Amino acid sequence: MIDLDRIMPELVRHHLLPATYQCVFVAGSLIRGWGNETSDVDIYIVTDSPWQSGSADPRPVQLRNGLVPAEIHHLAGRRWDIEYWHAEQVDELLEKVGWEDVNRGGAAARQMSWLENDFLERVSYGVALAGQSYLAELARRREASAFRSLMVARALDYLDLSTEDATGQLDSDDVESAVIAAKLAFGSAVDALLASHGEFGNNEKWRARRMRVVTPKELSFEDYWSVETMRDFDPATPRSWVEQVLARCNRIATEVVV
Amino acid sequence: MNGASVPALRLDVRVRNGGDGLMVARQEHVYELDVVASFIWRRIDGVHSVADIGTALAGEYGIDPDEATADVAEALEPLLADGLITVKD
Repeated sequence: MIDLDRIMPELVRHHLLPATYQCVFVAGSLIRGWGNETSDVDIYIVTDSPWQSGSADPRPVQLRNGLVPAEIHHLAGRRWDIEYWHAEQVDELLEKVGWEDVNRGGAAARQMSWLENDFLERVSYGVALAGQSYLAELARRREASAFRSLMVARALDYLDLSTEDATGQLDSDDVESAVIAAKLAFGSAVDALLASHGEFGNNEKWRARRMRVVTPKELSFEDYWSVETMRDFDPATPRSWVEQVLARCNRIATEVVV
Repeated sequence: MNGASVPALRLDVRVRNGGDGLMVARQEHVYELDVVASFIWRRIDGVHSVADIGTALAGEYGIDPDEATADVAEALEPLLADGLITVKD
């Protein structure tokens, strides 16, 4: 789907590579084998000094240096999304999800942005184009961190919120809203389960793919897909569906180790 | 509560699995369950009776079924009182 050998020369040709850097890696759906003709190429460059460019789009993160510059480039009809993370930002991010901070209450870790989650998720399967040992060390540090527990705990917190919504809505006969809340609860329960098996991700569109990768013993793909597609939903008895889904969520939460 | 009672979990109960045991909660009521109490909790499904769970507990720990059923009922009483479970007689 993508010729990785073309990336570094193309970055150089278009002045998109800093003079010095720690690592360049590619990640995202194309690397996981989930991509298609419209998928972006997601490139991460860990820099030694802040990336300066008139065309860069600054993206917010919850770090002391709160912006990650990003460049967009197009080649052969495909969009390249290039983020420039300063090495100090990467170190701070890994400290943020370290056990030391989390055991103190993890206030910083609870403020993680979408961009930070994506970065940490992707270091484990990203393909290094330069700085292979740096990327391997990043993956090791992330694996040793509390990131997995944080992602499980966050998904379970979302599960609790949606469950509370759904039961409250059932109690007040707002059954249509309860159906939606139960669907959200189920998604969070599955996300918690997947995170406990090391599959994280912000984007729910990949949930089925992640289930295929993990094949968790706690929930078969068939059972997952049945709820995800609302196969057993009967418009005549929506309350029953909500109750069954919430009970299933509870069973999943019982087996997910935080 | 007796052996024929059928316990069920409230839908809005919160559960966390710490590896050694479960933490279960509803509203302001929080319980840290040990291994035995977690074994009982996992078998609450609105179908199996207290006696059924007692039989399973007896099989797991090699104790007398009647004694185990009494232990299950005793373990469930506070959970019922605090609204984490419901019981059908």
